[in-house]
Amino acid sequence: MRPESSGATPSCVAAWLVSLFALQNDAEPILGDLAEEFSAIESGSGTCAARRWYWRQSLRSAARLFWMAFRSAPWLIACTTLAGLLILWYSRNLPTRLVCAVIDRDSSFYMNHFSIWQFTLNYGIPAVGMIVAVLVGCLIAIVASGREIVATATFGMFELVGAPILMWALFVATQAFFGHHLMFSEPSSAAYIPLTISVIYHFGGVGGLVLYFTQPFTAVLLPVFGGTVIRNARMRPQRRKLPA
Amino acid sequence: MSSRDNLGDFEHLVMLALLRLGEQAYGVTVRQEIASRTSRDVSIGAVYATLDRLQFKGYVKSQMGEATPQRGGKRKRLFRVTAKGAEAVSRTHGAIRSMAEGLHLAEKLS
Repeated sequence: MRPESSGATPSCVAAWLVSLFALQNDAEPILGDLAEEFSAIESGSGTCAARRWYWRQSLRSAARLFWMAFRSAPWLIACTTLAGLLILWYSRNLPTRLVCAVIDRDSSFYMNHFSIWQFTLNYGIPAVGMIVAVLVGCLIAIVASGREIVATATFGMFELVGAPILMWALFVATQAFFGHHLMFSEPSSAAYIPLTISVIYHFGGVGGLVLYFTQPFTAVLLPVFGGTVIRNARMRPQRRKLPA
Repeated sequence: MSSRDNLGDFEHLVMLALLRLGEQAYGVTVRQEIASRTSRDVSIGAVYATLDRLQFKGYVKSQMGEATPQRGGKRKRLFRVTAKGAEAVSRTHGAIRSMAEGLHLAEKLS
């Protein structure tokens, strides 16, 4: 005997994942189709089977929709990624300048409160850096209308993986062009890593180390978070129009 | 007419599913039609990605349908093949037929 429908609903996380990657006009019918099949599978094979099917479909669909959104506007995504990297490059000193300006303004206060000065320097600069990353994600999402998540995720991944590779390629090309006399005569930068970690731990404690090691992940996640904010703001008027 | 006007493998399957389903063609029915006739487990995202590409080429048209409680109050997107799309299907069929002409596939594969 087949189990009856229990009125269970599909995972909202899986649905949210699909809605993030779908083009704006596709999100509603795709989620509707998934819900319809979920309800049919649930009444035929039970809630667990339906939930498993829904997750599998959502993950496969999200990957496919990501690729489709990228393929349908590769130049737009390449341009927004490049613009985002340029903005980040020109604003790279902004967090330090901003925090130092705040400290300079109330220098007498900070001179008498060393721990607050230390805290502001250790956490203020990364915090402003994070806000800048979210704002860059928002800007990219505003330009890449309908492809917000694809554009910001591409930017984040390029920032994490592509930019260091590009820098390395430029370095190798420069070495090949100008000859070996420009090669490092000093120890490799890898030798400074233990020193860097101990300095960060000394001044920033465990929090400083956490910030240091999570930096690569935040580089990807924060622009995507900015893109999600813009995407949700754009989708809100559409959701209001839907019947209950 | 260029070689780009011919349909790809999955595009061809989706167009045939749309022609079979007529006015009942939307994401769920297209996915199920392909799954039941070809035993290919395709994702709904792949179906929509292909349908969007076909719509961009002018081979299909779409309109929003009704919302039902089973769909969580979300509307269907109904698709239909245009005259240009029907021509593309027939052209692709013609190309496959002419390539297969004279080949005794059963003998070749045995």
